This record gives sequence, C-alpha cells and structure tokens, in this order.
Amino acid sequence: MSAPAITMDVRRIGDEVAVVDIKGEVTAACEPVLMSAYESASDGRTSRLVLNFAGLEYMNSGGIGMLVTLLVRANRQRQQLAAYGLSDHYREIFELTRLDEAITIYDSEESALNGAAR
Amino acid sequence: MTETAGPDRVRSAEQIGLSAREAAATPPPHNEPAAGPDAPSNRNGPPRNATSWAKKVERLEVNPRDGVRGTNVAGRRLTGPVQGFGKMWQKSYRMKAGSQIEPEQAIATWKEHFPEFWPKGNRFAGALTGIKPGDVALLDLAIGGGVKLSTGVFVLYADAESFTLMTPQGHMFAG
Repeated sequence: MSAPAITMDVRRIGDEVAVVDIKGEVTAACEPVLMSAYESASDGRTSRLVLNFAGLEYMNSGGIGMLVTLLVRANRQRQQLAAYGLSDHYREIFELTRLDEAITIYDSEESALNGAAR
Repeated sequence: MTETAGPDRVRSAEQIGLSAREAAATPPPHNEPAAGPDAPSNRNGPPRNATSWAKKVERLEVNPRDGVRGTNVAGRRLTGPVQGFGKMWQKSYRMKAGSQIEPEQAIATWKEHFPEFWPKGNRFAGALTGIKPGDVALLDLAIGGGVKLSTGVFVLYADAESFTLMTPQGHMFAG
C-alpha cells in the first residue's frame, strides 16, 4: 500500500480540547496517520476533538468509513467530535451519510471552539 | 474467500471502506490544481471525484423494476453510522484473484455482473446503466422457509476501483 498523502497535526486548546489539522487526501489508507493523531490528541483529559478540514484536498468513501471508525473510538472514550473547514461538497457528503448528526459541523475554528466551550 | 474480523479486531485500512482496493487506491490523475490550504479560492469547487459521489437525497426514490418487489424502500431515509450498524457495519472479505487482474478490471466486471453474483433465489435489480452513484438497487432475498425479504440499497459512491452501498431504514444491516 502506498504511503498516504496526508498530514495530521494536533494542537491542544486548553486541557480538554484538541484540534487536528488535516491536510491532504483522506482515504482508508491514511488510517494509521489519523489514529496516531487521535492517540496524540487523547491524553485522558480530552473530551472533545475538533477536526480541521480546511486543508482537505480529496476524500473517498473509504475516508468516510475511516471517520466512522474514529467516531466509534471517540464515542467509546465519551469524547465529542466536531469539524470545520469543510467545502460545500464535503459538507453535503457528511449530510448524505448522516455523519453530521454525530460530528457537529461549524463554519470556523472559532465557532467550533466556542461550541466546544458550551 | 476468507472473512476478516470486524472493526474491533482488524487494524488494516480495509476495515472501513467496504472495498479493500479503495484503501490502497491512488486518486485518479487530474489536471486541476490542488485545493490545499494555500488555495482557498478552489475549496468550494467540486473535487476531482465529485461525480463518484451520489447527490444528497432526503428520502429514497425508487422506480419499479420487473421481477423484483423491493419498492418498499421508497420514501425511506438512509441510515448512517449514528443510527447504528451494530456489528454488521463493516465486514471485510478477501480472496485471491490472481496477479493478472487489475483493480479496475475486477470492479468493472463486478459492476457489470453484480446481479448475477447473488445466491439462487435472490434477486438484485440495479439500474440498467449499472452501478452508478445515486442509484437505488432493489433486492429480493430468500431468507429461508420460502420467505422472501424485499429491500434495497443506495449507491453512495462508485469509481473505477470501488463502489460503496448504503442501507435505508429497515434494512437488516441497518442496526
């Protein structure tokens, strides 16, 4: 399997919130990168993960499936997932797959973080 | 063909995508500039695989097809991961097809002949155009004792190397 063309950098915002900056192509092949980022972002205190899709270049249905796995793992840890930076197209895909019912979508990082603070 | 363990046990990338090949798929070449973080003006344009995705639907629309009942899925909503797949939300199967077969060949054959691959007594009725994003394929399934179960599936995604089906409310995989 070829190396995934993606990077995911984790930023901590306070004790309980982490932002994952996703840049590149989200397919099932990038699962190790995402899960590594998830483990980095989850230090036992993290109650909310914010996914930044502003750098998303491409995503296929394998990528959506991978987000489902992330969702399952986050739910097991009682963590909430939020997202921002989605293009109109991928926002529609989130709605079509009803992922938006589990991963709250915001227009900006500020609103995502404000939502996290609620 | 072998069945791979479910999501609790599988660590490979194939665990999610309903298509193992898709996990390793390199996105098709394209001439459009990358819509990366340095090119925000392109972000609201369609991605290069936009036509591989189905358009958003609120409820399924179904055209009756000869020889299959299954129209009972008309008007139903799709079920996503939030609504629950239970332990059936993902299954991975692997088989050796030989080194001479390219992924595009395998998927093309699968798409063309998918209705023929069902066990005796079962019927899969897709669109005449084949498996295309947004299609609703109707299913009549023999579940034993002479009983038939009628349902359908929505084609969420289809490209040269994969296709993904999504279940509506009431489907036995829909949790």
